[in-house]
Amino acid sequence: MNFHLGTRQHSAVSAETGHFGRPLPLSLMTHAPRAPSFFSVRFRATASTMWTDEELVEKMTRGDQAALGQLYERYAADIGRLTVSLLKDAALAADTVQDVFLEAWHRADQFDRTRGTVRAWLIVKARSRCLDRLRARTNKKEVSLTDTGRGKIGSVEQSIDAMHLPEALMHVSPEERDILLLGYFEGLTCEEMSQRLGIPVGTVKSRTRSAMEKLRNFWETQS
Amino acid sequence: MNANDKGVSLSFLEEAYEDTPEPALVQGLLQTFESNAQSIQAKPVAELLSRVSSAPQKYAPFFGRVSQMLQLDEQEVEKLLSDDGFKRSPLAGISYKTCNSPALTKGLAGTVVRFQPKTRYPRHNHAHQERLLILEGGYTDDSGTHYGAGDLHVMDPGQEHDFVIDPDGPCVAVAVADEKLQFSSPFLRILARLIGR
Repeated sequence: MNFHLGTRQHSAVSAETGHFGRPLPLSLMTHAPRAPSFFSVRFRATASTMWTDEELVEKMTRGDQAALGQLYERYAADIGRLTVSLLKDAALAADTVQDVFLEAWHRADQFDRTRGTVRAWLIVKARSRCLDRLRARTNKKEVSLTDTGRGKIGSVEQSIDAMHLPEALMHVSPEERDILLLGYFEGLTCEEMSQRLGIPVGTVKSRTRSAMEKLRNFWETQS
Repeated sequence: MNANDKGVSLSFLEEAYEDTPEPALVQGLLQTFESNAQSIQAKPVAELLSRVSSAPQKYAPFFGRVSQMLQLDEQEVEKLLSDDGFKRSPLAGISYKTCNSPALTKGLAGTVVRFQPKTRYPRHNHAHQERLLILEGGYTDDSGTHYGAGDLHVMDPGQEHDFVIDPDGPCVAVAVADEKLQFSSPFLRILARLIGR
């Protein structure tokens, strides 16, 4: 759709400096007239299929809807597997995926590549949206059944695990489960998990091994 | 082993085991997740894009920046960036919408401006610094610099300039500028005084 974004590199400088409220030094105002030749349009159309995730998010901060579309095509299925596993409702899960991407569209400028990958950023959003939906569901139930106002955040987080995760995962401790979920859904390495959870790398590894051991025992008793 | 066919990374398992983890164990873990997480039919991308194809949602990535620029909260920004309420400017090809932001410095106004393709904005200068955030389309100023969506064009006080909108589509921008622009052409100065802009 928007194939001429490649020419905006120069002006990105002005966007950056302007963002921090400093007037742009004249020396940085490189002349960058657009050259909408047939060749350049065709070339960029081809190149646009190879944007990295980070580049797509950067384009989204400039209002590029095609970039949002590409990101969706790349990750809607992944995010869908997470939302349906938490919500257990295909229609609701598909709606939630769209909400996640709309939020990413709105908040594209908050993405910070030093804090993780685009995929992890989307997954964190998806997890929050699922929690919101589950909270809403829990609150509704509680209003109709009792008025004790229980339905605290912690209980919803627990109920995700208790209600929806498969039985095998019930046989590992919550700490071990976190490791498996982070490792699987977010694709984090041991080092990244150690930073995220604030525990030593050695602990991440020992929890992984002990979780896998418990899973093995569970599967053996099953079969 | 760094993945299954869906490209899911399980590199943490490799790291946690000094030697390769038992394939059966890894397979079991994958199956556990897979059996739990059925894949769903994602809605078509066109449906998502239709939700961001018109104002104000198509400008959502700019809500935060516009809110900072105009010192308005994001809900007000969202209303401001809707399609209705534009007034036609006496200058051909330009319509605008002013916002009332009490937080802006006296003498400055916040405006959403929509330019038709190829419109030329007449030469003028400013008593204050002017800032223009482009939400859609683009223009080339008299120095030959092109500004496009996402660019913030900052013009210092007294800097005289004009610009021409790109031919391939309209341009929409949010400006914080002098309430009364100083046009270079004597005719436009008189006209501006007459219509109070």
